[in-house]
Amino acid sequence: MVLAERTVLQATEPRGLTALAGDQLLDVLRGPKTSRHPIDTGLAGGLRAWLNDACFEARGDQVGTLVVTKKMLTGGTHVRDSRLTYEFVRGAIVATLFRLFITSGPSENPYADACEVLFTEPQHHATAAFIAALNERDRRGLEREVRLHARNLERRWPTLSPTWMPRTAVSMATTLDGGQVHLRGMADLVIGVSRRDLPSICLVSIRSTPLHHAHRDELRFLGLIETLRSGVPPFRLATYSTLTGEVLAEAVTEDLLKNTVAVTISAIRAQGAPQ
Amino acid sequence: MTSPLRRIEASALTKELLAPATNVATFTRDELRHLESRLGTSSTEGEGLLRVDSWTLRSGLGVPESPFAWTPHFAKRSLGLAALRLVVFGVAATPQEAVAREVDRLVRLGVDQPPRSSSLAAYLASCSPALRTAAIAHGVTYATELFCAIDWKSFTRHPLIGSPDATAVLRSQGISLRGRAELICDIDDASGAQLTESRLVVMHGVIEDDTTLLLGSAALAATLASSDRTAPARMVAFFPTSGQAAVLDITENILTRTALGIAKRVENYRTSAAESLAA
Repeated sequence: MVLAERTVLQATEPRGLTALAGDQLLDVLRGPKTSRHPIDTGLAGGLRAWLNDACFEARGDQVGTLVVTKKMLTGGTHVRDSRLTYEFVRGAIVATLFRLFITSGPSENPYADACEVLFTEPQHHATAAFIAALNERDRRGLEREVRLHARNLERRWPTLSPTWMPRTAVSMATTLDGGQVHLRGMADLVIGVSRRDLPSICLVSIRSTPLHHAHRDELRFLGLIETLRSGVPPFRLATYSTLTGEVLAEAVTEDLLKNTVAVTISAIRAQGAPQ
Repeated sequence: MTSPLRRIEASALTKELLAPATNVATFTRDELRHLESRLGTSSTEGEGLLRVDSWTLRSGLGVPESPFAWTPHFAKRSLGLAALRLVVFGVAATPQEAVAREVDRLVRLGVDQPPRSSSLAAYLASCSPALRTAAIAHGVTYATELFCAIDWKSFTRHPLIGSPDATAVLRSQGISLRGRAELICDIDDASGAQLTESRLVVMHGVIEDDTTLLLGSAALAATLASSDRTAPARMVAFFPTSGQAAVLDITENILTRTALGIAKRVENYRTSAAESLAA
């Protein structure tokens, strides 16, 4: 199998970000306590009304369900391109590895363990087929890369207290326009106990590549879904690169959510006919 | 016809679960037989019972071609609910600790079971450490989502968490009707004279057109399987993925409509299956 769009593993200039580990990383995930403010109880409703109006304008009397995912925000109209890439497959393996790592710590055989789990997940049948079709050289290359990510996690990722209720692979969705438009996504890690009166959860997204701004935008989309589904925004969003150790973290503000609504509306308008 | 399903904020889940019942549907034996008859009749004697539950209703009632096999994903509900019991009843401090405890217990149980057993315990005892860890991860996410959604301090009576499915075997109809409930809460009726129950059903995804039928079928199964011929007063659906929640107050009329709805789906399925066979 010829591998297209393959990222060569090398040290990457972090563009102002630095690799973080242990307590430093934990501090960035938690953010300053002073940044947590009681929620504006009308915010989620206002954002939803804005989105509903935009959906109605953009879709008119079209019927059928439009599913909006994070890739549609950054990938323009290429959402129907479902071809797997090497990066996607590596990302899926690393995300699974991360899940196992958060649950029970480091593994002796990270590649084999992550693949074994991945192969049991119905949504990853195509990924499993992709891996099975790799020639020996590419499979070994992939395994080497995954081992590197595993080592990085082991060296850098802090221990999370169980009392922070860490949970992995959390699916999120919300509906708009009377159920005609679905916003969907999945957080690799959610930390914190949801509260009705105070933003109290942190959403974490894992990347197996160096970080770029599209990653931040994609996680903001998840932050918007969380706000709409629970009525309470997360207090923090963090995208973590298992390759470089960089983390892009930010507090969730009203302006951030409003900007994300605008980006989401653009994506809905760009989709044209429903799927 | 307006939908009897009431959408509520997820923050009101506990309040809805514990609110006194406004209506308690009780049946005589004859009335119950009449209700059963609304589910139709089967002309397929000698065939196995058709399993009717929320899963098969959503997937068109077709029986899966491959036999059931445990995966970490399938284990999440059993592990999550067992863990939730441990946390709610103060045996474990967190869902993570509780799921790990439950898995340890099942593994100890499973090692003594025959290798071909289809139990979760046997699966967890024989699967690789990676799959076991994945099962724990699934269970933790499930338990945490549910734990955070309910205000457990509001309960004055212990709820039943993850009790077995209510099952009504209806031979005349050729179906086995099953009703799932993640939480069963004892509640009083409005006068305080009668004890009844509300049931929480955890559902996947978002509220859809068939949510009323699915909740109704779980209530119908509970009614037909109940020893005192009483329906649950209220079914509450919770969708962790979307944070949506909805309530279906159970009346005689709702149960009748549900029975007719199921009968129609079963008939359509059987007709279509017979046509495929003939072709």
